[in-house]
Amino acid sequence: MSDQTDPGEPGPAGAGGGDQPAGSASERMDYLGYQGEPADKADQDSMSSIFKRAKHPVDTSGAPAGGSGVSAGGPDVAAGTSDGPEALGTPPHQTDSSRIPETTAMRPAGGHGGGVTPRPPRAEDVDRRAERRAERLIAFWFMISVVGTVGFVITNFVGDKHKQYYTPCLGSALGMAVGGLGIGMILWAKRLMPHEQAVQERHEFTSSKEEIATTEAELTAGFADTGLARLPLLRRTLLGAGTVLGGLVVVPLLNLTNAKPGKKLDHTSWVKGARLVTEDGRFIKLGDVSIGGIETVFPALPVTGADGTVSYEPRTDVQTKADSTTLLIRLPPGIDRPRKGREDWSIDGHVAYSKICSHAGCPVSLYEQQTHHLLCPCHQSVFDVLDGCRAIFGPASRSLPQLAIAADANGFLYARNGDYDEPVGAAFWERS
Amino acid sequence: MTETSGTSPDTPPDPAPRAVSTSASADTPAAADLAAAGASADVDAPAGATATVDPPAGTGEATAAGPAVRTRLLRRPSRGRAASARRRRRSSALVLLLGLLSTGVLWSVLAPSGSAAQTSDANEAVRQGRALYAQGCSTCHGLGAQGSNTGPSLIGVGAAAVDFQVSTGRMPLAAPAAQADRKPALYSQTQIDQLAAYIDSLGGGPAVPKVTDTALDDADLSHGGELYRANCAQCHQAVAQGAPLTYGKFAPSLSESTPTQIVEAMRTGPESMPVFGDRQIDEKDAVAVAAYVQHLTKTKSPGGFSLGKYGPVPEGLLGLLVGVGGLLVVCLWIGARQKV
Amino acid sequence: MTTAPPPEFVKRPTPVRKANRAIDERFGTQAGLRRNLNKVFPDHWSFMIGEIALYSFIVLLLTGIYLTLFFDPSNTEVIYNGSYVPLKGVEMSRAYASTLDISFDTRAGLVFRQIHHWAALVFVGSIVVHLLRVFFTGAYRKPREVNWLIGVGLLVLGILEGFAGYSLPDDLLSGTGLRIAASIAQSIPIIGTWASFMLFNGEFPGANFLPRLYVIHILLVPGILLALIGAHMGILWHQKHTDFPGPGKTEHNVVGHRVFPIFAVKSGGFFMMVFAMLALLGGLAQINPIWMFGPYDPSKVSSASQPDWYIGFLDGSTRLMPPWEFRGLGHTVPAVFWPTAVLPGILFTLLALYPFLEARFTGDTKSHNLLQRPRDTPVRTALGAMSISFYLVLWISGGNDVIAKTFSISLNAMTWAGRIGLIIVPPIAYAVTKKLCIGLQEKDAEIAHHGIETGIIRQLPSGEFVEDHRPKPELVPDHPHVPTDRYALPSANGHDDGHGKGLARRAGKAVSGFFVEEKEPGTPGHDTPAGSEKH
Repeated sequence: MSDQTDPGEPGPAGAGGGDQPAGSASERMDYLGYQGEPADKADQDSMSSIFKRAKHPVDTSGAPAGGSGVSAGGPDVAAGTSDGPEALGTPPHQTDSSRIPETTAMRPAGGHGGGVTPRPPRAEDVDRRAERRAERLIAFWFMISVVGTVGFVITNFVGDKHKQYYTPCLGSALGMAVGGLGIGMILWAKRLMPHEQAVQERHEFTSSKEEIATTEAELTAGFADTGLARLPLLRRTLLGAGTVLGGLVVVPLLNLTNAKPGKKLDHTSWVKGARLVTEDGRFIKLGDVSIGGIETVFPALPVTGADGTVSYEPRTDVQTKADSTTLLIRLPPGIDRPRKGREDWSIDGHVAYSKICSHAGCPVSLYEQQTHHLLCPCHQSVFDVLDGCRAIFGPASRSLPQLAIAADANGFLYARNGDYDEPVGAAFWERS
Repeated sequence: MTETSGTSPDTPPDPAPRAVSTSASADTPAAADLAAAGASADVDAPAGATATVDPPAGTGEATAAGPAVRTRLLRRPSRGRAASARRRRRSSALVLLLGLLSTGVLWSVLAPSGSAAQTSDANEAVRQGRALYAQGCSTCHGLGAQGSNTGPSLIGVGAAAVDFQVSTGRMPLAAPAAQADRKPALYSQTQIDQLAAYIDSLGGGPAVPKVTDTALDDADLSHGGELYRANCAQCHQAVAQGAPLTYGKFAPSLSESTPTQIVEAMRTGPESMPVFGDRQIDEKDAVAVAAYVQHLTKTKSPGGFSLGKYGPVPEGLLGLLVGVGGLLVVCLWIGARQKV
Repeated sequence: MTTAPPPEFVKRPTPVRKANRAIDERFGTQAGLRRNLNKVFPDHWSFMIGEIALYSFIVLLLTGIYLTLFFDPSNTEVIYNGSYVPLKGVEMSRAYASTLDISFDTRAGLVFRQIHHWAALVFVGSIVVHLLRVFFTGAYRKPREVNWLIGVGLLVLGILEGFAGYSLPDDLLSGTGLRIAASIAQSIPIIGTWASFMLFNGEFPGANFLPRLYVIHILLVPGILLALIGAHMGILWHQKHTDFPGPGKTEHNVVGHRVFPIFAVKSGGFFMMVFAMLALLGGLAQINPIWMFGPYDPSKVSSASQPDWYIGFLDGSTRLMPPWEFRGLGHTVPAVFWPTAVLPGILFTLLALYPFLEARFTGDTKSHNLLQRPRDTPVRTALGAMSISFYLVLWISGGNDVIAKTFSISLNAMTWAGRIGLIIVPPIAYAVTKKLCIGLQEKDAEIAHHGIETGIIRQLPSGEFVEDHRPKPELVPDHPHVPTDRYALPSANGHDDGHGKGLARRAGKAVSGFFVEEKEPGTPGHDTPAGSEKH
């Protein structure tokens, strides 16, 4: 460790008087790190100079000081880009490469080193009372932190977690606990720690030509030793085996799905004769929905019992809802403009369209009963219900699929043709 | 209705100036009453003002305190009293602005025992309503409520529609727009009841629903929630803050809606809203939906400030502006340098 | 100038020294330790933006671990019977029910859930701001392209990770987002259907999808994130931080604070500040109140359904996309494919390749350690402004329904404004920014030539009025156009320091003192050049 933080250490120019921390008034530049070793010892420690390591990663380990040190005096400047030479932290003994400091720190009121201007001293640097004041302020923030921590613990255990104050109190207390510490630490670093301007050399990452040549040669020799160049059969079978093995990754990927897509996206759960049922399990009858009203309906599949009676089984599970959800709309009489071939798909103003948006699959259900527009809340596609739910605005390009419905003798609505005649929801590659 | 919004007593002067002029032209009978009351209007103003103090203050407490108190808010003890709460606020505005109502009429309805309107002769209400209608509504809706170029026919819309439109201040319309905005109501509850009676007499429609406090208390909140998410959230947003529809129309926020108004809207389908008749959502379920909406809009957030309950958009803004922005300020503080 | 003498080898070590020596005997740490602790980091405030992201990530890990202890990522349907009354008796997935339990029935559950969510927003947000800082200062140039690539990877993964986390509670909002994600996966030509089925384990909503998403969210993506963050930091550490040009700063040195102790303490304090900010947000500002949205149900939706902010630009692009769906030859390429798969693909590829593209076009193959000011590189800055404006139009469009409602604007008008804005705003931003940069350059040249205007008008004996110009402060060797510091102007009367008077003066001094520490009066030798010079 550097000794410079030791206030008792007399600087070369003598420490400042009574109230001044050491060195503040002196013109002084410290070299960080341990610099006093003899050259030969330093060189044995390959870590002692990152500079040399970076330049000559191989040589430093055992080379004598003189050899590699030649270029080490100011080499990265020379090897650098077009910028002018800049010798920072010029060592006291230019000839002794082992004493080159990697980092130079300058303290307030120090000299200008290499053009770096040290910070002027603060009040805390020259006035002991200011230092004490700063210390008290920092201690105050640390105590705030303690208060916050205590508050957090108390709120956590004593507070009623069902009360409205609980979470805000916990958050505020935690904020105080960590924030107090944070503010204190930052003030500590800013106000009480020496205002140093450390200068560190950068290093070129490019290796020397010899280094590159040696490495490349070794790699080439190593590759030759593998025999891959000489033995084509080995090479080709290895490549082949690797490729096949790499292809194996497809297997777990395919295992990710429990079912092949097949034609699943083309169908929903609607079947011929399925009744329209609400989420509550109520079968929709004519007249249930007022004019200008809507109802979200699901299929209730007809099940013929052993005695021949037909019962209806509502399907409102998540899987069915994902593609079979249908919006039943009751229009005022006579305003619907059914498409060709769909004239009998509606009954008494009741029309049924898929609720799954033909754009990205959101439930499109913002029905405006005056304009008869359906708006999708996700991407704002607009569909004109009167015109077969044609997409008239926004990113959707296809009409919502229509479900053909009719009413039975008891007035119950059912799907008269079975499933939708086209896939519902978002499009996909296989959709024609 | 604004009485649930925690308004302070000094808000009554709020009603927009345009409301002033409309009411001036609309309410000549009331103006006549005023003439009768004469100077006593001044005396009444403070009375009305003090009367307004109560409900808002109570509301404030209720929203802050637990469910026990909150139920008071959801409660509508009787049409007369709930109406009076609403009207008290409005009445002071009217007095302050134009003095359209006489002290006598005002006091008779303000009185705690104010069931006069309920017991009054139905024919009398229709007669009064017709007069009010002729003054304030016939310009657009036609003298016989048959409709015109500027307003739809009101025959058969029912009392619920009248009560909803007028009590939410949507009618009379201030100015033509894509959609009518909610604003302070112009008519007193008695007048609204009279108007509703008149329109109802022209042809049946949904009657004004009776949402009682016991019904709200007993309502199945979670069932109401399910119905809300299934039928209402797509337009009014999951937390009832409203959302836009096409071409400038919008589904309004339900924060200020009373339970009665919510049920009325379901039954009558005002403007763009679809109709939800009682064969789709029965009386009990409708009240449950209203109770759930009240819960959504009135319950305080357990997690701190609710940011308008608008979801990720305000959250993102706050996260970026206060979160990242605040930390950038901290960066600036840490990195603050001395001037060299 | 001398060096300090070597310190004494302490004969009777304290416990800390003992531990140090014990470790050294086994790993030989001393030189490396010293070297790393003496590493110098420049202390410009803008270099700390990346730290916000790092510390948010740590907070995410800490709070995330807490949440995993209570969260049950299961699709199994249960009937809720917790303490949130309006959902009692409602059927929902265990994922949603356990999120409700975290929010209402777990001690400190809601606050940590909210901190986690806020930290996610801040994490991605600070990555973006950090990216902008790196971009506009040219910090990505050689030799730091690889770190740029890693950074772009971190951004993309951060967005994915955030989306996965947003989707886990299985509420109405997140389920709607997943539905759209499934439609996007499905829209990819040729492999789309399979991709969607493989992702969701069958047709949406899939079978047991949440456990899968959970593994992605708590193991797969965080693992990669952690590794990439490690690499990002390691490369930064090895290459040393860039710095702005300044007095004595060159391409070959780095000036600032050493890691130990100042930088470490400041950074530690900053971590605490980030944590504190997130804790305060988590406690005081409600985020993602899933109990109000209800459980996911594919037949239900809430209007104003939005993703978190970092997905917003994709939502916006989807909303602005015209209804162009290509059909033919028995196949369909859906409209949703272009704005959600192709557009981000192009955007992130361009972003990743930018350093290489710039090097190609400028022919700059040198290594750079000093940063550039945005005005000195008008084309890059203009390109950046263009990209930001493009992004902003998309982002605003992602919230256009909320904006339309809040400000009573027609939704359709918002959409059209976005469509048109997306085409015309970026070129305008490019042109304006470039002009601005060049103007600033000219101003710099003017100052270099004439000096700084002081606003002090003098009357010459001849009766002529002239304005005093102060010479520009000394130049930096490497970058002749960059002034050494902000221009401190002398005041007209010599007393005023530009802070005004009275209370305003105090407030002004306090605020500016927060950002620029005032020099102690009476310090010798460091006055700004006091004399003004006629020019």
